[in-house]
Amino acid sequence: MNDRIREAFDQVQAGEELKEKTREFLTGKIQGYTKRGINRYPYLASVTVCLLFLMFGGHWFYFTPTAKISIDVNPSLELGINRFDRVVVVEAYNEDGRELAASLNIRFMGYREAVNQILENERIVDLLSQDEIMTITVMESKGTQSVRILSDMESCVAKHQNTYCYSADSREVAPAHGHGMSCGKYRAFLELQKFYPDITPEEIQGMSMREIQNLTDEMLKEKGEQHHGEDTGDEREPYAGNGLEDERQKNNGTEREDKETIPSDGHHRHRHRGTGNKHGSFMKRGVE
Amino acid sequence: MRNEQEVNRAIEQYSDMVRRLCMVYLKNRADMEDIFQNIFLKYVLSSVSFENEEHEKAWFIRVTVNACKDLLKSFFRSRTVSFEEVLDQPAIMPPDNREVLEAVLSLPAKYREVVYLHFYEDYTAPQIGRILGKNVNTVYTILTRAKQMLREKLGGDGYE
Repeated sequence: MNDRIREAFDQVQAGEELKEKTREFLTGKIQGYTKRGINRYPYLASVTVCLLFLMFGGHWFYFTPTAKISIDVNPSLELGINRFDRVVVVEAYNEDGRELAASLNIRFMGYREAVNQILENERIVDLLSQDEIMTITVMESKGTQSVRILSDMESCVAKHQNTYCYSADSREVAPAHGHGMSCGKYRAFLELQKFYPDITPEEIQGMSMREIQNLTDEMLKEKGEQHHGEDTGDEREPYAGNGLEDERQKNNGTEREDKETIPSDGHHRHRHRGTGNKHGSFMKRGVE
Repeated sequence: MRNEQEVNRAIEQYSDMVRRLCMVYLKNRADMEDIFQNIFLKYVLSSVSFENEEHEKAWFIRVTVNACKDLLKSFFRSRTVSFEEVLDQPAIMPPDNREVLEAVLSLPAKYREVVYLHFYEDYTAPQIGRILGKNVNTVYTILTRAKQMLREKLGGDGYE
């Protein structure tokens, strides 16, 4: 009886028609797969291009600094700020700056918080208490970001002694970096160069902001009286001081001169703001 | 992906077996055709490298059984149950063969597959157990009961 089952199943066969249909079906499918495989390349290519564009575009969008803050005491640091007000670059311009940068963890931090962290850094506090000067220089840029940052920095420095805030022309960035200096120090160099035309960036590089300031002060002492007479009467911008300014003003009479000025050479424009009871003459650099 | 030559060989070699397995499970020609074609499509796209012919044959059985069971589970499958349609070759089938097939196809599905694999493909119970993923003792039990049922339906005592 086993044979009966075998015989019965033997009668069931896949007809030629079914086999042929299956071959056609498979041919169609295989071509479809192959075609799809071929056609997929342009699609994949465009998707890849889009992804790459998003990746690199996103990277560029986030990691490109749109503003710069230069912080100089003797440590010279520059913070690159992106369009979202985050610190994306921390660049040191001298050995002290490198040491300071290494002790900070401010990358991707909001710039206000980052600057506060620097101002509260033990080493910086120590330097400022030793009569050193800190300048915070904001590079001007298109749009309102640098104005906003400058305004924030002004209120920030108002709470700290021997700390001054400036803005500088973004065109100074390239020459500053070309001389291996931060923008803030380069701005101070340009100031000093007006009195000492022969001075070179190399001579300035190793000097602290206090030393540069002392040199400037000496010249200002010599020319001080003249400069008072040459005040153009430009808009004066009071800064948010720490209360020490009043004392300084009492001591120095009209010495407090906080203003925006455009030098005749047109190279840079700076706005001096600051606070400090011991170095009021530093502010005179704004009077030209 | 397998080449055309391999596919043609597989169609010639396994199409009858796949067709019979489909018949064991499915109740209409349209379903059978779908499964039949899909089995060979799976073969074309499969990257399984077969150790030998037996391995390849077992793969076809396993894939066909699974495909049929999946289709049976589907809510949308056709439910035609005409025997003529199941056989698809009623005119040329001798009455004795037809009677046997009717008897086999009237068994529950789990008996049908085992009957086909044992009586037609000559697989032993352990081999059937491996291919279908069933316990060997279960296969033995199914075979014994299937033989009893067939004996009742067809008469005689020659089913071993």
